[in-house]
Amino acid sequence: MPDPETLDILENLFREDAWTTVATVLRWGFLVVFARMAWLVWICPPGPAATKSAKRKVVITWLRGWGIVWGILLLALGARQATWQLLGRRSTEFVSFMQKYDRREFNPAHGVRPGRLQDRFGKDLAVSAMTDQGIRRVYPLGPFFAHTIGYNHPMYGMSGLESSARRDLMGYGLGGVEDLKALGLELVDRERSAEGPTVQTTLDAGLQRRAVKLLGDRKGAVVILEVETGEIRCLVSTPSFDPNRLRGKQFSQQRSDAPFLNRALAGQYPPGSVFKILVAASALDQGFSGRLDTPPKGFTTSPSTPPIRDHGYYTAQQKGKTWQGYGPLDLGTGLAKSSNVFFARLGIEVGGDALTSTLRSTGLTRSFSLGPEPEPTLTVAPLVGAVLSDDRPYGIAQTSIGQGTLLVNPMHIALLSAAVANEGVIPEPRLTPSSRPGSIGRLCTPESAETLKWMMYKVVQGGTGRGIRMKDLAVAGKTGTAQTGGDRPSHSWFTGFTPVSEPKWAFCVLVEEGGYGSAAALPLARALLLAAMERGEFAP
Amino acid sequence: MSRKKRKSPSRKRPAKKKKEPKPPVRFPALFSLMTVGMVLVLSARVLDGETITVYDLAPYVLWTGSTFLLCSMFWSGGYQGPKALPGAILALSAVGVLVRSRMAGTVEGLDGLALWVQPLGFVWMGLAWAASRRGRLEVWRGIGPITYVLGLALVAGLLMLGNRFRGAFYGPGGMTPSELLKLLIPFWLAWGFAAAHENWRDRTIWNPPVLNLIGLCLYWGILCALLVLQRDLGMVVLLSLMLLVMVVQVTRSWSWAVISAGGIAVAGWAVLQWMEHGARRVDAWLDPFADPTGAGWQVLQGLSGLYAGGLLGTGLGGGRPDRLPIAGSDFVYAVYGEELGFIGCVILLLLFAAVIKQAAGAAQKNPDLFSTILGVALTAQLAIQMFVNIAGVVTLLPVTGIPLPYISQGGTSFWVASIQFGLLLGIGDTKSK
Repeated sequence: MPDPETLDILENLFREDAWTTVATVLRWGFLVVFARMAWLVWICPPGPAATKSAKRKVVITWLRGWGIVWGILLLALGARQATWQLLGRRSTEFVSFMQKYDRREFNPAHGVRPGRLQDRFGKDLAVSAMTDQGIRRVYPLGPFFAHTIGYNHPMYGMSGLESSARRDLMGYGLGGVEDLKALGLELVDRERSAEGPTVQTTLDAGLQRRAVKLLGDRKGAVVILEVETGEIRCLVSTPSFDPNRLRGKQFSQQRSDAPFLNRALAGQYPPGSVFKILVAASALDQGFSGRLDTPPKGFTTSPSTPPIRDHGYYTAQQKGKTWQGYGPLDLGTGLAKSSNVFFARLGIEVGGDALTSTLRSTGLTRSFSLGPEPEPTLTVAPLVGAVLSDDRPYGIAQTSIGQGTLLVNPMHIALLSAAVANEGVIPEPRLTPSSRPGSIGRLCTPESAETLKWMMYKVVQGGTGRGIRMKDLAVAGKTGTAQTGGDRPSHSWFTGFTPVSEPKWAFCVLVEEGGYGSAAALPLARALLLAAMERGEFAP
Repeated sequence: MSRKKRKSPSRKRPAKKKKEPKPPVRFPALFSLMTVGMVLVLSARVLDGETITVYDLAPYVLWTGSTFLLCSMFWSGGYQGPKALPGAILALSAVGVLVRSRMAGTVEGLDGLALWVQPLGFVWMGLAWAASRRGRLEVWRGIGPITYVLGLALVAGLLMLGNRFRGAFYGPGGMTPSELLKLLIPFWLAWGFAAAHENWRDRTIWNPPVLNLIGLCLYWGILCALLVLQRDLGMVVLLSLMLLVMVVQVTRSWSWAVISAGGIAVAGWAVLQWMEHGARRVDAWLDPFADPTGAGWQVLQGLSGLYAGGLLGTGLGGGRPDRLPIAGSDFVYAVYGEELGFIGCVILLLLFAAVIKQAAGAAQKNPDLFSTILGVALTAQLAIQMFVNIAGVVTLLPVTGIPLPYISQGGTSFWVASIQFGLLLGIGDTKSK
């Protein structure tokens, strides 16, 4: 068999520059001729049915319904095909699949870029960039927002708001006539560089940067949110990572400082004294109004358990003096002095059932997600160990001072403060603005909240939170020093809200192993509030 | 009175009748379609960096030659069936040849013997037409009972001797002899229904011809059991739906369809419980994104191709069929949709619907009971095949492995479809009075 002759003439013709134009015309011509033929066949009648002749008595003609059945089936085919072929962009999963696995370079999915994520003032937190490898997401503020904004990486997937708000970023969901028009245009001209709409978040880039810088290389978390709307201004967890420079190695190595862990939402910490806010709220709801004695030798529930003592006992011991005790205290003073003995006794007084039901009604015993759609990295983990039994009074006493089996994260504590400032209602925290603020639960009655609000103000005015007193801003708060066992330094907590008369913000700062609440967390909160005040946040 | 009323509008008709499109095979359009398409396909290959040789023109030359051969048979024989049917079948075959040569070299090549599939198919079509036209089909009625035995023997033989590949059984040389069931079973059913027509006529499912029904169920059960053993679920679905259409047509009662639809759903569910192969396809259909790189891969790649094509398509020759696994048989529609777009798909659906309309017309043009029922069976089968194949690609139904008639690759299925078309042409081609 001879070598087949190559068609040089045709090959040269096809390689001419003008051929592209000719080919386009031919392709259209093909469709037109084909359509014309199909149409002519379609309208050509197939001929009459055989008539009943004398010889053949029965002839089967088609039942009328077949036309309807067939028409419905064909319409269903076309409609189903259109959902993929024309409206495929509506499916996040489908576009993701094509961006990852479709190697047709002309596939418009490769040109669909997620929109920008911005902070509340319009500063870019995540933008799309075209590179040789296709679309890449760039994070101008890198590590500052690594946990909240998250990342969208072709290899390592998605996290944070990048995943949770993806539908909005890709421009899904037909909103109205304008959207329909845009869709129509897109179908016709197959725009290859479509970019989804910008999504605004409730975050404040300036505040967030400030918080991260204040934490420095300490491990910790900061949560600041608006009391009424639940809009999150600041959500920090350190150490962080750079979402612009992800490496596979980072995900596999076991590091004790866990940079991928969002401490603010998924950490598990003993709350220490900040938990007294909840015990106080529960006591107020029970109608507690008396005084409890705080003996100098401490308080315990049985001879075999070590006594719970006030902090003053240990400082006095160090100085070689004898601790006199606070004497009988009312709730406000007990909270201001953060007396462990008082709250251990108060917890027993209130009872395990009441504390458990308060915990339940806050809604913090369930997990909930912060973004527009559920996303594991933006899910607030539930409280650990939220059931308190009256059979174990010592456990209740320990938990009442925040050193029991109960473990929390900074978001929980920030929400407790927000509830005190918000008439006892726990707002639903959110990262994207919403017209209707929601609620996830209730801490106490509005009356109890009002009382507790001024008690927390007293903490700052003359109690353990004196350090945050400011001339122009009335802050209410509560310190916490949570022992972690062993010789490790305590976790440092500070939570509160401001301004007291008309609360706008609630906040919570945690510095891991930062020592006293007033030593590490409180100054950080003060610096942040000062910075916000300088920008005129709390101007009337 | 009524006569007068009917007559008065008909007087206006003669003027309209002149406008009616007459020439069934529109040769200028047909050949320009094929020529333009072939040029585009060849240019796509050159632009992909391949060289083209004279042999690459072979599909075009063979299709042209066989088309002339076929048409000269029709002319010399005096074809008088549904006017547009031959032209529609030829247009369909032209698109099929184009799509298949589009994939040659990139997917499962079109060379050697595969080149002869199409022209030989046309020969079978011509022969089938000649053998069945003008009432000759009545003679063949006698082979009815034999065809069932032949069909069973075929499936059983394949089970014992065949090679297993991609979950199904194949005959020597990768042939799929079970495709022949698509011819044998309609013959048998048409014979049976024609013979027992008096019993079936005007019976609903509440008042069935008990003995006939039991017999049918028994024979059908054996056939389906063997097919299920052979893992050919697609064939079971195809033949069962065809049987359903036939029963509804013969009894002229919709009750059969309504009740049987439920029965088919239950039976399908039961079979899938122990058929891993089928169950996986159903899972991939319900949620292709559950396992996008495994079970859902093929479906999703097909859909990606469709999406890449969009409304207008990339143009014939402008797509990348090499990106799609097993594009040639089950997913040929995705390749077509990528290059010709949603509009092209609508046109193809219209052409298919038109072919089926013409075939349906052919079936009821014949005054013979057996021929009519066979025509009903073949028309129904054509429609079901087309629907089930495309529905699998666009995820309206799970993928069944049924090819798209005349477009998909595959020798046996093309020939069987050719013979079916030939029979339909013959059934419609009755002596005019």
